Amino acid sequence: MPLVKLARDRLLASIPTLIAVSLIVFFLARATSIDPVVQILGQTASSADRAQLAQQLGLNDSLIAQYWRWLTDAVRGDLGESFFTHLSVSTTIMERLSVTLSIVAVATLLAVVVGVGLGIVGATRPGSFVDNVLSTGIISGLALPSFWLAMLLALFFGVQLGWFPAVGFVPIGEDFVGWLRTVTLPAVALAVPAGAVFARQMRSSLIETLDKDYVVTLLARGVNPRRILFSYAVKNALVPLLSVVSIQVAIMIGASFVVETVFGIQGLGTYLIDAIVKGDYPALEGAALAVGLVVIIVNFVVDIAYGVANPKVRPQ
Amino acid sequence: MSNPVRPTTQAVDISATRASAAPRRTVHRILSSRKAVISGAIILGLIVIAIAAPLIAPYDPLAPDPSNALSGPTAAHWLGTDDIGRDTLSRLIYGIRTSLIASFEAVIIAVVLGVGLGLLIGYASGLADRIGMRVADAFQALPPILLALVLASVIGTGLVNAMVGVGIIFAVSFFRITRGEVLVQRELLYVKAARVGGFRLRAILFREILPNIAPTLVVQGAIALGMALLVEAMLGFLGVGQETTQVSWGTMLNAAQQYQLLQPVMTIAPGLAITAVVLLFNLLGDGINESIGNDRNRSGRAKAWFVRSGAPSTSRPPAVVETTAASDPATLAVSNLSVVTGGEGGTELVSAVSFEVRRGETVALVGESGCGKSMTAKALMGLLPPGVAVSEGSVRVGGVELVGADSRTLRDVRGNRIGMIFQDSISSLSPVHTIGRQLSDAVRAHKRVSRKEARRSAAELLTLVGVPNAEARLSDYPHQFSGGMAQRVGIAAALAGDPDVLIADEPTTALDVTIQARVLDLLMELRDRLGLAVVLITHDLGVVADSADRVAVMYAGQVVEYGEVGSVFARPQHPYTQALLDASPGVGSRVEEMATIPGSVPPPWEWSSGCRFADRCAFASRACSTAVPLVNGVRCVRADELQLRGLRREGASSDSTT
Amino acid sequence: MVDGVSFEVGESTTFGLVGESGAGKSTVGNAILGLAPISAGSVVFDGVDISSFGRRMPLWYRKAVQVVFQDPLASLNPRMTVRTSLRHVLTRHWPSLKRAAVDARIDDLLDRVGLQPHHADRFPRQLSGGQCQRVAIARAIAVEPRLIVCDEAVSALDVSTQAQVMNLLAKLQRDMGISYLFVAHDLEVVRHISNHVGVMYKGSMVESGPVDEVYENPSQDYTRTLLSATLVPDPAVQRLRREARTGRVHALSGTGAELTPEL
Repeated sequence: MPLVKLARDRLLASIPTLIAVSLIVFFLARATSIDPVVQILGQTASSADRAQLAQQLGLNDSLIAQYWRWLTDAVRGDLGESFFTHLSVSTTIMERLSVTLSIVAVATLLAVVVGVGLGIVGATRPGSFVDNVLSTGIISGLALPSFWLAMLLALFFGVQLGWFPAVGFVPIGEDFVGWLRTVTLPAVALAVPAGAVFARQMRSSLIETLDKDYVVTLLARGVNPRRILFSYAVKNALVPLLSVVSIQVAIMIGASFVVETVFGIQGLGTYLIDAIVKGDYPALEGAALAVGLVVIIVNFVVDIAYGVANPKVRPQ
Repeated sequence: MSNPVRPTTQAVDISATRASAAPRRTVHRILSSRKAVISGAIILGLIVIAIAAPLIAPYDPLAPDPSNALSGPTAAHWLGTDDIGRDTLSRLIYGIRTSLIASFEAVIIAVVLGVGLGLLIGYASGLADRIGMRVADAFQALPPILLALVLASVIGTGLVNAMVGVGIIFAVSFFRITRGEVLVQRELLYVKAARVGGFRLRAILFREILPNIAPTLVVQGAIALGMALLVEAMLGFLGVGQETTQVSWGTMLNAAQQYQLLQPVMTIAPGLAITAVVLLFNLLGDGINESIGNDRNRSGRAKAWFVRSGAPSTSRPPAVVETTAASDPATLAVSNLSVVTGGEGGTELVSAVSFEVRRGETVALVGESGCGKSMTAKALMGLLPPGVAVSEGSVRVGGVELVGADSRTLRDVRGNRIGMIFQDSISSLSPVHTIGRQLSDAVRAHKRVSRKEARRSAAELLTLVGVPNAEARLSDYPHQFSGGMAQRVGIAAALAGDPDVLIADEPTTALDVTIQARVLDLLMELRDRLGLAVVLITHDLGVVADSADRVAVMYAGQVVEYGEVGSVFARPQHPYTQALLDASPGVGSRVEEMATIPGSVPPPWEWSSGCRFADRCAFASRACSTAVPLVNGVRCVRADELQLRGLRREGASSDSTT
Repeated sequence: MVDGVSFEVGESTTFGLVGESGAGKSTVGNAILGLAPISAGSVVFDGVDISSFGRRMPLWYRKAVQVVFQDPLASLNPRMTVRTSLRHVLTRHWPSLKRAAVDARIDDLLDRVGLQPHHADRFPRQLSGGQCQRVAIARAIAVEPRLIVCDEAVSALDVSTQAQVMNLLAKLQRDMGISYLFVAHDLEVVRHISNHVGVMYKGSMVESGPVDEVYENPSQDYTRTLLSATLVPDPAVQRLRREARTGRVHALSGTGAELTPEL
């Protein structure tokens, strides 16, 4: 039961965050210096035409009224249609988001598995040769720009070796193997810096855990050191890693926008950048809101996982 | 290994005092970190290059030379040229300017905004804090690059504008960090004392709190410089917020993408430059972090126990001393045990300690902090911290020698022959495992039984130590137990392997008096029922009087007096024992002035070769400057001539409260 | 958390507040210091009700009431030398004091608490626990207070240092006429230093009175339990107390009707 209560509390707490996200997204989008009317009609259009189009697009109403209309529609799942393509924003976002999220999901999985593994290896032999090599690798990984790594991967594994396609994307529903081939390089590009973050966090929190009183106590009870390491220390050390994961997911989603352009993938990134450049408010607002919602959901899941891992935070 | 090892919690203070004998301020410590100094120096070098770019760069970074487009590395163009023939090396050098300006601009904005708000809102808390945190959550739900793209479009193009946006985004994380630190600091006693001192809010925030969180913020600042550079590169790569007159590594990569098949150098050079500079910022942050002591990664406990998976043992073979070779398993015989730190010729922490505990008996080790009580206990279990080792002596349990024993033997002994309980009962239990799990594991460490049987034994153990409702409490976590109950759990776990000897290291120090009495009662009851030999380590003479049969009074690593509790307390022969008794409040009548011992226990490196108590002793004479052996249970050359009065004081009757 | 606690601390006397953890002793101290809110009732200092001050205590009250905490190292700002810490306090309350006069006052304060002038330029971590506590006391008496709340002020110290600090507090009381509210869990320490004592249990005061009366002749069961559970370094006394104690525990263990249920 405590977990159900925790879930309810967290869910309620994320509503004001979501509202704050919607406010930031809407008003920032409207504050951009690009006028969609000019973008659609061109610089030469008459002011009467412009006024008419603005009226049509609902841009003449007060911002508050527009926000309220957009928010209430959004709650019903309707994010309007693009000023330019006139396609439903919700539909396009669902398509694009599934592409971006599948890349980020694979990247997260890779980064967590490899990062945690390397963190354990380093933490159990601090100061050793292996640890020094790993630490050097980790700190270099942290500094790698993911989009540049993506360019190098595309160049080497895509063009030179031809192991993976250097451009394009196959949706998972269409062809699993094709998806796997196209998702690998972008996911690796995202996973390297994130994995470095996880490895670093895991290493330092595991070292700190191994220094705790209860570890000494377990040794004093004669419990096997391997058992202490794997079933006690690692579990304790994973708890602080969780919040790092949720921050990294948001960062990876952002980074994937840039990586997508490297691989010419039609994900949410290209859609968003296009919308910003053109002043396509519904597209920009809808896409940004969707990203915010995804991150809030990830945070929620992480919070629950935190409750499972750490009994102290469960409500009594 | 120039650092003094931290032997015990008490000795931490001692070694800290020693390390800081020459006051070292944060700046000095950072300057002594090689990592921080080298990366800082290179960054300074880059700043010089950035300023002197026109003098250093071989070409104008913006001048096209179409006849020489997409050239590879040549003598004229060391790193080749780009698609319109501009010199890549020159563009890289000018790119340093852009990168550094962009990074520092964003981070300065972020620090000023974020730290300021964090200090105010963190200290004020309440509604402002709740709103601030919601807004921060919302900002962090949006990827930084997305916000940067939109903000760049809001504030207007140009690198300066774009980085204002990045600064605002980063301010959110500085806000969070600062707020978190302020919440911690606000509860610390020095801040409370400042409030009671009547200081103004400004003074509390900026004079008291800020210097204490500044090191953390500096580290974060260095890391944020790297992150800002990465965001700038992404923006440049996407072609947002850039002006054509500015040379940015990100923009160079954008151009490179179209031509990377024709000219891979165009891709590789700017990317390496970005990675290198971000790496420098990260190394600077790391170096500072390590030098201010936030990084505990060099601590060696883990290394000592999990790689060699054994206990650090003696540094040289023990000089075996024959004791009354008791083969009764419930006999712990310690003789001439010495513990040193820093290897051969290092500092002695425990000097030639001998005592013996038999079945059904309690021997107390008593003394003030820094006298080596806990270090002795850890040595018995083979659980000395790294860098600390037994240099001499013998520890035998039922005839088995533990000094110099291999890790297998020690593991068999721990829990099975000797059990141990600790002062801080809650932190001696893993917070994320149930009590049932921890007890079962303790059981299964010694007996080959199924999980189900182990759990049944766990419940029996809990009942044995008087935890009510044992079965149900197995699925509870440590934080659901009070200190007294957690100590009972600790005792249960220590008894899981059916040990013959129980070492209790300050088992009741953290507990309330009524609970303390009950836990002591439980220990004594278990001792009688299970025939345990108990070693009771404490600083409290009351605990000794209540529960021990014999007592070893320790001072500065040595046993100075050893004997039956009744006779030692009634007729102490060592002045230190007498001084301890006098300084304990509450025996007999109230006297206006309490007797005190001048000074404090000296740290191990100041222990003299003569009587270690002489400096503080009212009876010291010239004879005290030579080494004093333990004769008839007392280590004092004047033992025979001194007439110490023991418990009785002038005009005091025995206690009359009961 | 704390309910209906009433007591008075007289001029130049010491009121001891004893009880176990969670009894609310420190909360009472914090309320007087303005570090914890007062929901009902009043704390009257010199005829002025301090709950009427609102969020910020007036400077005269800060000058009149000071504190010494349990953890000596943590109660000093780690990044300030002893001199800086003391100077801030002095200049806050006497803003017009000249630099030289401040330094002279600092030397005098250190002397009063038994430290040497050279200790002024040390950082807290370069001092021993007892020395840090002396600095904390110097800071408290720097403002010439009328009342000092000693919140477990000697609990973290070793027994010999503890006796030194208790003697120092007694001397300062004689010299400066300071009153103490002495909050501690150690009954013998409280007995030694206090004139009056209050026994707290679960947020209320179960008994109070002159020290000898409460200790010699406790009227409440809880006080008796506390006293009999207190350990004194006298094996003969402890043997008697142990017998009394275990006798009663055995009598009660079947019913589960113990006085302070452990959870």
